[in-house]
Amino acid sequence: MIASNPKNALALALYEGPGAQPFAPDQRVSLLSTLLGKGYRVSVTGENTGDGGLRGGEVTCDQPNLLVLGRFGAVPEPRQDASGIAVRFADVDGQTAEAVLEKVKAVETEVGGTAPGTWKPWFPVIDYDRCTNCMQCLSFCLFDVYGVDKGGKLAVSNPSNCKTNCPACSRVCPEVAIVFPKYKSGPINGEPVNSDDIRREHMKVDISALLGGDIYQALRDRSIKAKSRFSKERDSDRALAERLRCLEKLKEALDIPDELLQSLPDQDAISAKKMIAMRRAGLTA
Amino acid sequence: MSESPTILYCHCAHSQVVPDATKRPVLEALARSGKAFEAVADLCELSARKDPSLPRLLGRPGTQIIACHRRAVSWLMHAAGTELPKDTVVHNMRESKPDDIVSKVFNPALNVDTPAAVGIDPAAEAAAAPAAPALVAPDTLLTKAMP
Ligand code: SF4
Ligand code: SF4
Repeated sequence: MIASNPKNALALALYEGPGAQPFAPDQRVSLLSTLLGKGYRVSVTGENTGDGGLRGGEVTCDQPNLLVLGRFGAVPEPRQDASGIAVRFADVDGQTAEAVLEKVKAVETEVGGTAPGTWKPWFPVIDYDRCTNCMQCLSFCLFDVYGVDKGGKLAVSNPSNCKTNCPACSRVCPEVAIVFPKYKSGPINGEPVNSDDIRREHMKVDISALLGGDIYQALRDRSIKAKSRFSKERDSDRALAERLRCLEKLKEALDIPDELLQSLPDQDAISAKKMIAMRRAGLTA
Repeated sequence: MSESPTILYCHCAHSQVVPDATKRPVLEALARSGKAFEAVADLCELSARKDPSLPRLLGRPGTQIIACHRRAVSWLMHAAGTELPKDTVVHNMRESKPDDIVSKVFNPALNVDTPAAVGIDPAAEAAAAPAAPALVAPDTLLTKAMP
């Protein structure tokens, strides 16, 4: 489960308001590239020219700690603002982006904050305009990413359980309702779903052509086959070999990771998952 | 709290799906402009964390988001517990050219990325955004401290 917000998170600001000189554009560019690349978020106040900056000099902050980076003549003393935010200041005049990064990390350690950027945010996002609450995705997912909310509606309950780069549940969704924003292609990446029916039918055709039947049963066969110590000796079984060939195609076509194929549950377990999710939400299936 | 428009730039730091050839020049143009903006490493991560800054940023009139597909951004915000206002412009770095994005960001009159133009049903987006959480009143946060 992802923490709703990192403890003692540190917000950063590039400050160019009263009491500080504007950054040279090159320094602004390199500071931003470096800090963003390391997972930090940065509020850029803009130059306090009166006409150029949109908010010259203002800083917004929703975190318990704020580090204000600027070209200060005299560095202001740290202080606590009226809402309890601990505000610190650092003079970064003439410093390289790497030196500033070290300074940021030092303050982060001082406030007991967690360094950002250790988790690739890969998880399904539901397009509720399209979702029909059929629960196929919930039944299909092996990692308990999905659950149901108090109203019995599909919910992404455990996004951090999602297997990085696996978009398999979006392939079983009959409504093209599951978005993985970081997926390589549309409509799974959130592209508008144009000519819905054509695309949807096309996807269904792909799956049935590859499997020739029940997706779960076919995948389970693959799993059993993979686990069998005698699998090589049974290669003469042409039907099974054909099925495996199809499943290899399926794996490629649908980006289903090996790990998922190796650990597929049987049909009873799949049905039980829906019941469990409903019960967890205090509902009867 | 300030009612100034907000530019929210997403660096998509954990993935290569937004081409470097787009995000670098966009970030550079923003940084060189001397204007104020908010830059986040990864909007997906903020959504997963239900980051409290999202309602505030989206609550500002005239907010422009520079990220990826509008449908993705819209439902990411929903997942975070807030709604993307229908007049919020989303610039798509996966598809648009950096020059086009930059010129539209600085000339909002050129924006045609309305919900209708990208196939989003405005009715589905009409749910009122949740009230912004209690926030710092930062407008005076630093100016008070400055000489
Ligand atoms: S499979 Fe698709 S339509 Fe069915 S519950 Fe999941 S997201 Fe909704
Ligand atoms: S919102 Fe889009 S651009 Fe931003 S991190 Fe997510 S996938 Fe990348």
